[in-house]
Amino acid sequence: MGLLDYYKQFDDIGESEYNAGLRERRAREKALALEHVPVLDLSSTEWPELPNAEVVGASVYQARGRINGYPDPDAVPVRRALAERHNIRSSQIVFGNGAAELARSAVYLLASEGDEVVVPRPSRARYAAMVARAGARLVQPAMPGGMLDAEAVLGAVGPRTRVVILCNPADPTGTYAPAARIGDLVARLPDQVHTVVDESYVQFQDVEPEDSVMSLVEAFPKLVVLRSFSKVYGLSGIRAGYAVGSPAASGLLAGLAPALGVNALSQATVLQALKVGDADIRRRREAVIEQRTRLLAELSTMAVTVPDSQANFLWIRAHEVPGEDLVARLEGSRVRVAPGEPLGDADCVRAAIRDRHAADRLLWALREALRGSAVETAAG
Amino acid sequence: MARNDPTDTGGLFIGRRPGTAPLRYRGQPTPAGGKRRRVDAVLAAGILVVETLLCATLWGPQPAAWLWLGSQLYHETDSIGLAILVAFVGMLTTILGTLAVTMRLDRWWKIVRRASGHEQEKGALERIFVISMGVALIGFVLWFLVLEGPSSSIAPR
Repeated sequence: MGLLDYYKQFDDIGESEYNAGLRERRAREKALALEHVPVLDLSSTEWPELPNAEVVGASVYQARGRINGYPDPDAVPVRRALAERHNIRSSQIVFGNGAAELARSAVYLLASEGDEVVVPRPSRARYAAMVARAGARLVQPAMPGGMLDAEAVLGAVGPRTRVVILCNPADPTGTYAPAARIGDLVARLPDQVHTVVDESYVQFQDVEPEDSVMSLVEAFPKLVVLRSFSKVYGLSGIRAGYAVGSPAASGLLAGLAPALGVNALSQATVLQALKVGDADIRRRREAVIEQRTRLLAELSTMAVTVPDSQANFLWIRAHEVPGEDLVARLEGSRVRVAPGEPLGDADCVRAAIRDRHAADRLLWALREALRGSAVETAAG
Repeated sequence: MARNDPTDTGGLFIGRRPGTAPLRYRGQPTPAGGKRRRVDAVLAAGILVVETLLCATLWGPQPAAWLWLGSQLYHETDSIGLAILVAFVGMLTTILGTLAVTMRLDRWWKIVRRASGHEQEKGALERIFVISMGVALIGFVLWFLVLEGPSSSIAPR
């Protein structure tokens, strides 16, 4: 060390120089904080917004009331409101703890040990679990291109088949089978087979009026339609849904009803949602349809295959990237999607449709993921 | 110990008083042995003496020298304006130059003091400046009131 260097090591840092260093460090921290993008979770299909405050208020009001007593076991006000909405008799409606719970009750009620339940593939994983718990055998005809194939379903129906479960719009493909096609299928099913149509996402379809499939119950006594308050209503947490059946199927409907009914808080919440929620439902539906149209148009220019979704999600198959890799690459771009394997096809992923910003991020992340694949292919 | 945690001060954030920042080095200095430190102590004292002498020139020698130069110029050129201009501009120039030199010396004094083993946070220039100004002021007052006297230049002695 030279003489000058020896002395210079005792020189102090001036206040302004020290503060400039602090300011620079703070600016770096701020820049890093801005760069930190939270994960956009598109793996689930429930509505991401909090419910309407009035709807929540109804639940709280109920909770502060006579909660020590049993709820209305028949949920008469809720069923009456639903009956007015769908222009049917309230005796045709069973209010339950979510569409999934009602589907499970239907499987338990209709299928016994050794019976068969037909569920087109790919479909919700929970159906397989329900069928297994009921001791029945699951039969899964394929849906080519994600579309309901009536011939394949009819081909899968055997003498032990008791139930056919259809999700419409289908989860995870999002495809929608119009009422005419469902009616044609139900009409051709053997007498011993009941059909359960899960319409949890039906509010998002823009093919035909919302109650088109539901109106088939008037003609087919063995058809049950399920609706949910978990999706477009954004009330997954309260677990509420309902089943609609033929006036002639009173025995089946009574069997689906939960013992002692649905809890009072859920009843109050749903009743308020039916009273004040229509504007929100319309807005959400329009937002999803707008973004879905845009996403489908954009995705048609990419190296992916996407069935024509009528739900609030897309079932995406990348041509060059396996599903598992696609999930990882999208996660790397801070966009989380549902892996396809548990939903029935490991080569696909399911991405929920949200607002414009979410759609932009999904498109950007997909382009990044597919670009990585193109670079690897070119390098290989 | 001063408390500046808002939870201790009723929500007020009490910052550090100006000029009380801790001494911060760029790196941890490596001091030399005792002999080198003693040499540095002597060197620091020498720098301080030079600094003091330079400060002392500000209040008497430098103004006097420039006034003398101005008087010489007046004598040579018979121009009072030029003499005053040269005297004051020269005075300001050398005073400011001297201050610049003393500030650098003060910085080196701090460095050498630290090298000699002292945790020297502040320089000595401010104090030297004020003390030398005070000494000069007292000297002027003594000269003016006692030695020379406040008599009129018009009135006969």
